[in-house]
Amino acid sequence: MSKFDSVSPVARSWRDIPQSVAPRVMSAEGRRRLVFSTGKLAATCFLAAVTLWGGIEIWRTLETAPQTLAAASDREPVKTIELRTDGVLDLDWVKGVVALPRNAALMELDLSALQARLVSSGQVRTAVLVRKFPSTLVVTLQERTPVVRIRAALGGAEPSDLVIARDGTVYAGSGYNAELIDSLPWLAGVRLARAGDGLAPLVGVETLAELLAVTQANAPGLYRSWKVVDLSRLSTDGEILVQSDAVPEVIFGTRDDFFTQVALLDSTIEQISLNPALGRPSRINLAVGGRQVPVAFGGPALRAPAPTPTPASYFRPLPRISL
Amino acid sequence: MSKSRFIGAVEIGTSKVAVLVGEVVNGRSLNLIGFGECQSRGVIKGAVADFKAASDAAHSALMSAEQSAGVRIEEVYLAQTGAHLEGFYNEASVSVSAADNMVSQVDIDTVCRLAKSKALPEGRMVVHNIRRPFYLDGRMVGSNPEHLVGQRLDVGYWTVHGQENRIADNIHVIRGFNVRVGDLILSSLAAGAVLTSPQDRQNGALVIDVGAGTTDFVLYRDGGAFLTGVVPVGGGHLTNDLALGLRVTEGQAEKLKLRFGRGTVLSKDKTEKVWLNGDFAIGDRQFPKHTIETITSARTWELLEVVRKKLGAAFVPERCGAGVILTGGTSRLPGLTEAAAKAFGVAVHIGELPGAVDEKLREPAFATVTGLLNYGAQSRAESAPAKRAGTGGFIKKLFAVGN
Repeated sequence: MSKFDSVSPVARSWRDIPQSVAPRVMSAEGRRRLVFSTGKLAATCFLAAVTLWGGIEIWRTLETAPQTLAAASDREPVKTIELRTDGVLDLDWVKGVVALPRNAALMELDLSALQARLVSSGQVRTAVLVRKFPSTLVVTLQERTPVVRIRAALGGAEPSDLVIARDGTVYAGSGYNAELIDSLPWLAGVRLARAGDGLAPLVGVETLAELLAVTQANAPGLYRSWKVVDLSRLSTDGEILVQSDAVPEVIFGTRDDFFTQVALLDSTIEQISLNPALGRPSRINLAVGGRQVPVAFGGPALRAPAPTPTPASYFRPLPRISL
Repeated sequence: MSKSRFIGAVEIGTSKVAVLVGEVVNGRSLNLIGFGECQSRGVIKGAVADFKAASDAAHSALMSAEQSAGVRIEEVYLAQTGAHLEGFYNEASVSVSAADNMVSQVDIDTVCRLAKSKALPEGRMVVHNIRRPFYLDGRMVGSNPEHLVGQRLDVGYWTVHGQENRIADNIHVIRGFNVRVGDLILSSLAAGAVLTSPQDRQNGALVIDVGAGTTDFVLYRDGGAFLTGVVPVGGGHLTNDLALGLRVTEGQAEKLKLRFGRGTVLSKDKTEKVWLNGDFAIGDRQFPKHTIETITSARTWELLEVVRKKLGAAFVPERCGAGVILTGGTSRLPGLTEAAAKAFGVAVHIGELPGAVDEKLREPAFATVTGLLNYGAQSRAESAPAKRAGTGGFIKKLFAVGN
């Protein structure tokens, strides 16, 4: 305190007037601003508190059990693989494909290599692999759905059954229900080619898949009777040949819509079955267009469907590829 | 990275509330980015008479200014006027304490403290302490006598003080918008800061801000404000006199004042008449032009005389080289400069705002609010170097959000 303080009273300044005012004397806008600024202050304090708490927790962990943090960061082995899929593949299949070494650390996994391994199977369209700390690998799959099947002998080995997806991908198929596979028609008239470790996608399967989908949805009885579909004339004449229980050869054209053709086929077969004198149709050609359907006859009259034959009896030329 | 701060300048006048928003970049440059104006209510002669009405008007102007600027005002610089404001001069002297008679900072602090320490009556508060130049052994030494040699150091302060409750009312009107009042500035000082150059202030100048309810003035000498004052008479009184003298309503009188009022009588023909509205509608009336000029010039002369009287011996025409500078809404009254020249005996002109100010705001009526913003930015720039950089800024900001 200086010697002048006692003789020099300091006059009150306007700054001594308290600037705090009660909310009741504020205008609506003033109160709104007060609420906003109070909220901002509270949010700032909350953020600061959370940051502080997080810092303290990390510090305490480092003090008491530093190995917990270190292990979580790089040396924790994969203990669980979690599978999420929209198809039929199961965890065992995934484990078999990724084939993780024993005690493989989560951080050391080469996720892109594992993803490539999964996708190379053909059945998997997309695969996403995510590390979930501390020790879980999450695998999310999107699978292909088969539309036809094919029997092929690869590299001189015994013939085996393969399935083909809508996009033409040919793959072995795993985990499918046997009934589903049995319900698929056989594919003929295509040439399989090697591409890398697998087979090149087939052209024209998408068009075929559309025909099969229309038939399955609108005439499931007809679909069940289809045994072999042939794409040999698809690229040249725009025709798909179908061999069924009732008719040895049904020709679909790709110029007209499949719904009309399937309806005409259903109607034609029904009319033939009502008139046994006509005999058994040997060929129905739906590719001509319009309402006229040329039908060739050359066998006994249509009867009740025969028992399902074995695949071998339908599959006349086995496609063979040399590797 | 540039750091911006948004400040507001608010003038709660008798006729209007004006708000300017400025962006202070890095504590140095000032950009004028928003403006709001509203007709004033609840204010009589510069003092708040109806808190709710005054608040509504002020908050409307603040919201309008914020909307035009697109930002939130963080701090307000508030103009202060009203008849309750008074000033007095007090000086002190100390003997230089050092053995070698060299003035130290302690001597300066001591003499300043003594000069400012004068007790005020109950209910009065200091608004400004305006320091006059230092004198060392009777020799004027300007604003910083440190390290000069002498035996006696003198300094004087012009202290402006006002009624506590009136000042508090003004502050509370602004706080009702939840904005902090950063500083209170006399209207005359705000207008003078922007209308005079340092050279004008050195040569001597008198700035008179004629508002609707009050007339504020500041006399500059030796480079700084020498004396300030407020007269509770303004353009509204001219209107009132016209209304009484011509037996018309205040609105009609205001219209006549704006169209035919003058600070000096120009019309020589006493029979010349002017129409009240001039639209030949029913109810339109004629008034003698000479009478209107006589009434307005008489009141103008009276107003200038009151100012002259309040200045007293402090006003010396020979020490007012830059002359009288008129501003405020009523300064647009024709003939006012001639009347002022006659009253003060020096050159008179209407104050002009710097070219950097938007043309719309270059009216004399906005001189105070423009000056306030300028004053606020300058005071912030001057105080900036004294503050420590570092975490203090963050901590201050953190707790400032609640204001």
